Amino acid sequence: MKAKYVIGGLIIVIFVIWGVTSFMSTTIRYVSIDEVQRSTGTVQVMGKVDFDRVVYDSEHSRLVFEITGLEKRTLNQRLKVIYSGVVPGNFDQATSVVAKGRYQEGAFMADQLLVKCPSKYQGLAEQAKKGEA
Amino acid sequence: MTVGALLIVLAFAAMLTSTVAFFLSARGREQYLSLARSGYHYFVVLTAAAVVLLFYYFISGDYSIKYVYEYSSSELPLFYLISAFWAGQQGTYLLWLMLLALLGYYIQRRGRQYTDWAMTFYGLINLFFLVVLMVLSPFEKLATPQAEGGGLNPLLHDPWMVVHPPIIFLGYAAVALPCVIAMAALAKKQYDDWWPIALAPAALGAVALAAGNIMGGFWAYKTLGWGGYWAWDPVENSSFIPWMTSVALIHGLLIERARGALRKTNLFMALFTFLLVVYGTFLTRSGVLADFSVHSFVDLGINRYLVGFMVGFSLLALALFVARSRGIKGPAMILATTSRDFSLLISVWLLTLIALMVLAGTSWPLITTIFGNPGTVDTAIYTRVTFPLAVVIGLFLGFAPFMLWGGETWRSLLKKIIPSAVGALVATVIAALAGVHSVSYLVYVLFAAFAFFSNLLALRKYFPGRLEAAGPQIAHFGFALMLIGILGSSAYDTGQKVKIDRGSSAKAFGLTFTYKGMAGEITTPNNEILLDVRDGSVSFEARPKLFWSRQQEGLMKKPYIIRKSLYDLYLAPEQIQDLPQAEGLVLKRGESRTMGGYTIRFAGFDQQAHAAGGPMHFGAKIEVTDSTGRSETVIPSVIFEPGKELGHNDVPLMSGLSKPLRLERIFADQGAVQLSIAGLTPASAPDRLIMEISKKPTMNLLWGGTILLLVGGLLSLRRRWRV
Repeated sequence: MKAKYVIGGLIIVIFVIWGVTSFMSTTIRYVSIDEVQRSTGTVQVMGKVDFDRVVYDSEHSRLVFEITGLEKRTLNQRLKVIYSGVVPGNFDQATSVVAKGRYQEGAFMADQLLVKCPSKYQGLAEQAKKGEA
Repeated sequence: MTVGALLIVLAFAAMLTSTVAFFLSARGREQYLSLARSGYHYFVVLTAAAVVLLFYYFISGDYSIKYVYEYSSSELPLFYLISAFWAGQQGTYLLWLMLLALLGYYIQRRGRQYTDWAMTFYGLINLFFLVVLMVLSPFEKLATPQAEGGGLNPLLHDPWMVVHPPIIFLGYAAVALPCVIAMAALAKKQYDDWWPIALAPAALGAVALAAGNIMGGFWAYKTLGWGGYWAWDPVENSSFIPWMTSVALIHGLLIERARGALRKTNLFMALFTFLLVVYGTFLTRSGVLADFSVHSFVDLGINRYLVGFMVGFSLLALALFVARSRGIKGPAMILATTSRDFSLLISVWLLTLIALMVLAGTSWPLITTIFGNPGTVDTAIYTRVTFPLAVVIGLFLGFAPFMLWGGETWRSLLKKIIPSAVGALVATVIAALAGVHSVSYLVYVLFAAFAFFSNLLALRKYFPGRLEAAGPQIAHFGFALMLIGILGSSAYDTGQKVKIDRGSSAKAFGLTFTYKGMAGEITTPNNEILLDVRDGSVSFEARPKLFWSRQQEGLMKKPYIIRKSLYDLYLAPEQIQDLPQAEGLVLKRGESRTMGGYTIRFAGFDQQAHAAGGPMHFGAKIEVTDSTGRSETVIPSVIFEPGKELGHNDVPLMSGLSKPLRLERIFADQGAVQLSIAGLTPASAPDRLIMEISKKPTMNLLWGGTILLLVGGLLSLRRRWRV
């Protein structure tokens, strides 16, 4: 009976170790905009879109734009993002975006784009409140 | 104070009285029991009144209520006005509380000696929800009442989204019952007969969570258009995890029912499942994952209550468990490898491991924050870690229907599985011939098919007379189908992007797709894309939807699914691209072209004088020569104001001809113009559809499997509820 517990325990331990190492190896780190150029592999970066420099490259179906950092030290730093994929419908309203991808030859090649939007309803409600004030 | 807020406050008072009275009664002062029960009645009635009131606000369109204003509008049909109730956080807390309130009667009816303690702990849960509803009230008034609401997210305009949230929350509410019953058992140190009371609500929770998750997946598949049914998003995971642990709990309770064994594990799993629900609620509603998930809620100012309840209640439950755990004694497990006892135990472990893996992945942003920069896991990890577990589950499900309590010799067990093992081998060969070449996938198919055949053969015994007792076999059979369907549809999903100009066709997967335009404008709600599909000699229409939602300020993309017996073809529109009308007649200065007997030459620009401040005409001098040699110069023009084109001033191609000549565009930098002549220049396609077409094999096995899983689950639930 003891042996059975030992074997069972061992299997579970091995599985958990394997699971945790898998998690570690696929972790996609958040980096700030100034760390991107030093990063290797897939990372994610958050920034504010410069809407004056958004170009849709319809030939390659990709979106080319620049983001600026969100921290004080990165506010004036720019990063060119090339996103190939379906443009999220609410991209135009993005207060900031999270791009997942890798840094390659001067640009961030993103394959996933997460758009952060202001909550419109709350905005509306606040406007209504302001209207009264 | 609004009427609604008053109802919540009164419900809180009733609940508080009831909980304190149940506590006193639990401590032996039984004279408080009737007060506790009537307090509970008042709580339920007041909560129900709040629910009815909120429904009334929605149906009557009272847009002075902020919540109603934010999630509905007068154009919504009744059906969706009902679902708008649970479109936001406030409403879902109220819905959840209502379901908890009703399920509380189960404890009072069947709780036996555990009732008072269980209701005391249950009261704490209800009180937490009432506090949340006081802080984050669905009845909050807008400072300025509005005449019209903001509308409901078009993605939620779907029958599945009307029923999906109540079912998920029914599951969440139901798993609170085994938790408080386990706490009561721990408090009273009586562990002999808690399981029959816990089993029915555990089964209800598991079936409701299964149904809710499956509906959510089905809705995502047919509505969202990204091509899948499960994205391992934190919001999905937070209902997936308790689903797995509640199924683990049921399997553990079945051991306890037969043997009295595994008490400690079961008590722990009962606590753990509900604590996971609370933790999942915290993850998705506190805003901690806002940077990591597309559809997490944002913090609405209830974080401290959420964290407070989560920490407080977890500490209470776990402290109780730790304090009592030495004294929990029951018969030992039978661990003969061929026994049903053993395979049930393994299922508890496997399901718990799946839950823990998904839990770790979902919490990864929080875990990694402790060590530095936060990170998320690639969602591919979830399939990687659950895959081997699914293989082992398949293997055990293949043995499960033949295993006996207490075990038998391997020889007699193996004899029973021969037919289904043969069937599994045949199925694996077929899969290999059909294109499954990876060894690990073939092993997966082998075991899933083994589970399929074993449970199918086991069903013979129940057919037709005793099907109502065949819940487990039907559910396991359905699950085996799901395993195969999941592999086929995800690992062998192939897709291709097509670009079709309006009026043209494209071929994909042997079918011809003709894009004929849109039913309305891109801003028309539910605007359909008109596609004609030709499949051999059969023609039919496909209508994916693509439209700009003002309410969501985003492009909505609803796929169209062509269902075939062996696979689905999934048409997901991505965008409609406006095409430049460059295929008309483009001429550089001095260039000429002959069309339909007329030679047309672009001689130069003609900037006409215009009244100051009025619109400007910008013309092109066009020399037209017909076949007889007659020549004439005409000046079509574009009318514009600075920055805005107003229209075209068309002229007859030649005097006396009815063919109008239009100056379509001016390419100032190239010194060129684009002309169109009605009846002469070919009309070019105004736009182009870009669409992803993917072929998803075995979707029908997956959905068929989910239906059988639920049917089996419901049959089992009915039996458990009657006991």
